[in-house]
Parts: sequence; structure tokens; C-alpha cells
Amino acid sequence: MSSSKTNQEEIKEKGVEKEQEKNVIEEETEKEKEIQKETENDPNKKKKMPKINLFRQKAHMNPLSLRQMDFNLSIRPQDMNWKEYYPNMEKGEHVDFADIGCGYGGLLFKLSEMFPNNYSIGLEIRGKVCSFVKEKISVLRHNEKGKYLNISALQTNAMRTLPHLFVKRQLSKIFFLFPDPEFKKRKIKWRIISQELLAEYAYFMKSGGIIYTITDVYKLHSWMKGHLEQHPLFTELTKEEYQNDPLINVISTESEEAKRVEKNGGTKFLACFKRK
Amino acid sequence: MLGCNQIVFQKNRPVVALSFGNQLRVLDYSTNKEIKSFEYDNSISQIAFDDDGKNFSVGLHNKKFFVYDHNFELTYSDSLKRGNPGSIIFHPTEKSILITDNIYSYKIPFDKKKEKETENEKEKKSKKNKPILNGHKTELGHTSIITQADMTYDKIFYITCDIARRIRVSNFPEIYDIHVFCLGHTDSVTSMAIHPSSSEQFLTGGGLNDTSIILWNLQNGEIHDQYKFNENNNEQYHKKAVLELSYCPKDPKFFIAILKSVHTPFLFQINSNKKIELLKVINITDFPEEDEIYKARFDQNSNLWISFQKTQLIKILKFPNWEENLSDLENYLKKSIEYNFEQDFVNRYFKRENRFSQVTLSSYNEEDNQKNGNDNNNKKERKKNSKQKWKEKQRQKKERKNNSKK
Repeated sequence: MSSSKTNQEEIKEKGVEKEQEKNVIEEETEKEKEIQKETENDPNKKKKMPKINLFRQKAHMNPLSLRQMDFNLSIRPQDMNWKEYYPNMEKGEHVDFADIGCGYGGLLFKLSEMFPNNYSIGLEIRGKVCSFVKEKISVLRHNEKGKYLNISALQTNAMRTLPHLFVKRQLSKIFFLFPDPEFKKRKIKWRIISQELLAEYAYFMKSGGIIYTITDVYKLHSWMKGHLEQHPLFTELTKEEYQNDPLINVISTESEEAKRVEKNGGTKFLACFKRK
Repeated sequence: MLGCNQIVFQKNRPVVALSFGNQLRVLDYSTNKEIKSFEYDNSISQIAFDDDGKNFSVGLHNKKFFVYDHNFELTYSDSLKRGNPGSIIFHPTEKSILITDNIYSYKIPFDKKKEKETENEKEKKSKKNKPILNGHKTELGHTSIITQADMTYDKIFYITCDIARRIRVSNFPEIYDIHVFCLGHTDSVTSMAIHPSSSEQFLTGGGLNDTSIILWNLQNGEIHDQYKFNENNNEQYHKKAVLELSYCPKDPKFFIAILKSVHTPFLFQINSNKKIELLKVINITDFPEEDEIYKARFDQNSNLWISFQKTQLIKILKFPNWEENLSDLENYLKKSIEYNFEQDFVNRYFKRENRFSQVTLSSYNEEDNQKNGNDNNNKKERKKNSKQKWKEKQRQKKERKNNSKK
């Protein structure tokens, strides 16, 4: 008779179990806080990585509205203090790679291993997601000494503040991984690649620099490829360059969006162009 | 606003175009004769002349613009999609116009007339086969509203200013290739002046929170000198935008600046070390009451034309040979001339009720007023007739229904 239970009793048992779980979680978080206080300044003990579930934020934000964060940066790029982001940076060095819309930073951690001599930065407009990347970088720098000193994240609106960060002909690679498609007609202005913004991206890139784009939406892919073909300063990579470049496999497998696309079984469309 | 909207000069001949709301007047100021006058449905936002004097264009506040010949005959008319035309510039070699919208700037040819859409073009505009670039071809795009746009003397660079304190210098005619970004203002850029004989420097003025004038180096994008009106905690010019800047064409060391809601224009000088100095604060005699300066531009003979917001006055201040007679400036300024358009405009502006309707002088004569009085009686009769017709129609409908049922 104990096996057969009514519905009400099952619900009560589940409720009791949830309360017990909550109490357990509260105790664990208190323990973690105590451990973190101990390990803040202790180089021997290791910190715990932040959890993604606590840093989720809604995806779509209006990039054309004027926000307070647009006016926080210094006006001239020569006055920018990069030592807050890269503590070992010297005088003659500068940022090389830019990841616009970096998300939870999957590509950045791979770039620091593949290119240890180049500095790369991730730009993100959402506050919580950017703070997640910053915390993860600080934890990794504390646990493994001497590594991950050439990446960092910054919270800005990339459509407005790029001239305040970079100088003419500075960057050598720019990444656009799985951007927002913005299907509606009145939201076409929010797309990150358009005929007007390509002139600015070409101004910041060296000759021979490469733009990497990837999506799983065919409409966006045709839009981006069409605009890049019509711009006279960009040419598409040849088939040999597609095969020889090691970054192309990295793009389609490393970030969170890429892993989500693989789970759902979608197709990915590549479009990589070179600046003259 | 009743005063003068725009003052635009032509480079070769002593011709000026003035706009008062809906009306436009083209004058020859050496002989004080009127060449032509236009009238439109809506108020005028921008005027532009060609360098050779062969073409002339006007933009209105209802997103339309017109292009005229050297004989002032219409050759082209079209309308924009997003906003009113902000600035109009003529291409030096081709027959086309560079027009700025709210955010974009286009290049539109006025050589051919608009043909009717063929069937192939209609199919292209259907939902399935949408082209990527809709409408006119966009040459340039900002992410916020464009306030000023102009070209240098040599036609090498094309400069645009923004509300987001950004100044973009791009090559010409390859406008997709940016030359340099000039960054230094802390608020929106409200005014710009271009040197009439060299392409190495130009001036800009800042907005509300940044009342300052900056002299730029065009090749690098760096600052030669910056003049702030609010130095040493001087709150006399607190929160006032710089409205106008203009170089003197005969001697471009001197230029004039105007702040919003300040009754005095300022005279500046540029040194050989490329530094800005304030020379004089000019007091205007017989300033009209409760009024503000709206525009001030220099002539080809280096006379200053000033227009106001509420009165139809235009004051012309004559400046002498600059370096010789600076000490006698006050005596020269007393000999100023006035163009007073009030008597012509009293009948039109103060009796008009609907500012969007077309105006003719005959409509304000006494004979027509009597006819309009008779029309009022006819209107009542017309209303009665229309009501009767409507009632008859309803009766006929009912009869048809009853007949059909039977």
C-alpha cells in the first residue's frame, strides 16, 4: 500500500524536497563566500569559476539610443589608459584583435592560447554578460600565473565609440560571430554590418586585415555578403586561404552560440573578407 | 519665425539669395535690384549655389527639393524619404547633388528627367526580390543626426559633423574612404566654417555644455588651438551654443562668431603661430527690441550681413582694410546700411491666416472680399442641397428593397 500514493501526497513530498534543497544551497553559498574571502589574497589557494546561470540577460538592446556609457570613455584614443585591462602592456604595444559582440567570451579564451604575443579585446553592450567575462578572466589569471594576460573585456556600444578606442590602421582582425538578425523592416538600422559602418571598419584595419563573419540564418548571410561585395575596399578570400587559415574551425566551434547551433542541428554560413 | 532664414552668396557675381519663410528673393546687391522671387507651399530650409553660377537649388521642410537653371527654370524636383534636406552641395565635375538627410547623405543626378516605372522595375520592388539598397544611393552614414556638411576649397575632402561630438573627414570622390576623425568637442557640434583659400585648417564650434571654438589641422586631425568662452569660472556665457562662424574672404586671418541669445558678435584673429585671439566685441546700434540674432555671413567684399529672428531687417556692417584701420573701427561701423523689407511684407504676413496656402496679391483686394461675402450665402444653400440629395438616396434604397421583396 505504500507504493500507491495519491496526488496530493506526491505534491507535498516534492514541496518538502524543494525546501530541503533550498536550505542546502544557502549553506553552500555561505561556505563559498567564506572561502572566497580567504582566497582573495592567497596565491596558493584556487578560486572558483563564476556560474553562467547567474549572469543571463535579454539579448536585444537598442544600439542607437544615447546612453551614459557612451560618454564615459576618454575623447581621444591616445589618452586611453590600457593598463587597467592589460597589466603587462608596454609603451609601443597596441591592441590587435577585436571581437565585437563577444558574448560569454568563448572565442577570447581560445585566442589567448593561439596568439600569445597579440592583444585582443572583446566589446559587449550588455552589462551582466560583460561582468561575467571580466570575473572569469580575473579568476583564471589568479589560478594560472603568467597566462591570460593578453585578453580583456569592455562594456561599450561598438557602433558609436570605436573612434574613441582605436587609431587609424591599428587592428588586423575583427570578428562578428552570430550577430542579431533583426528581421523586421524598422530594425534594419540595428544590424551591425551595413554600407555605412563598413567604411569605419575599413578605417581601423590594416591593409591585409581580415573580417570574419558567421551565422546560421541565411537571410542575414546574404545581406552581409552582399554588402561586403559591393564595398570596393573588401575582397573575398580564396579557397586556399579558407583551408589554410586555422581560425575558421575555431570560429564555428568555440563560442556558446556555435555549440547551441550544433545541438539543434543547424547549418553555418561563412563569409570572410580581406581589406585591400 | 518671421525673420530671414538663410543668407547665401554666389562666388563669381554680387548675387545674394534671401529666404523669409515661404518666400525666396534673389538680389543683386551692387545695383539693389531684384532678379527673381519664388514662393512655395512650405518653409525653406536650405539654399545652395553652384561655383560657376549655372545651377541653383532649394530645399523645403516637407522633404522636397528643387534644382534650377541659370535662367531660374525648373530642371529637376524630387523628395527624400527620411527627413528634411540638411545641406546641399553641387558636384564639381558631374551634374549631381550631395544632399544630407537626417542620418545619411546621398548623391542624386539631376541630368535626366524621372521616367515612369516600367514593369521590370515594379517586379524588382516586390517582396521576394528586394534590392539591398532601397531608393537613392547612400554615400555616407552616421549613427546620429548630421548637423553640418561641407566641402573644402580644393574639393579634396568632404566634412560632416554630428550630434555625438564626432567630425568625420572623408576623401572625395571616394567617400567610403575615411581620411581622419577629429575628436575634441565635449558636446554636439553646431557650427562649422571652411577656409576659403587653403585646405589645411578649418573651424568648428561646440554646443550647450561646450561653448568653445577649435582650430583643426586637417591632415592629422589634431588641435591647433582651442578658445573657451567660460575660462576662469566666467559665467557670462554659460550654456550658450555657438551658432555661426564665418571667415572673412579677403583676409582669412579674421573671423566672426555668434552665440545664441547674445546680442554681440565677436571678432577674432588667428596668429602666425595658429592661435586664436579675441580682438573686439561688436555692439550693434539700434538693436530691435526682444529679438535675437539668427544668421551672420560675410560678403565677397568683406561686409557682414546680419539677420534677426522676429523682424524682417537685415543689417550690413562695413569693415575697412583690416590691418590698417583697426583703430578706427567704431567710426566705420556707424556707417552701416540697412535693408528693410517690412513694408513689402506687412500685407502678406500679418493678414495671412493659413501659412501653408498659396498667396496672391489679388486675394487681398476689396473686390474679392465682396465676392467672398456672397459666397458665404451660397455655402448655406449648397449644404442644404447636399442634405436633400442624401435623403433622397436613402429613400430610393428603401424603395428598391421593398420592391425586391415583393
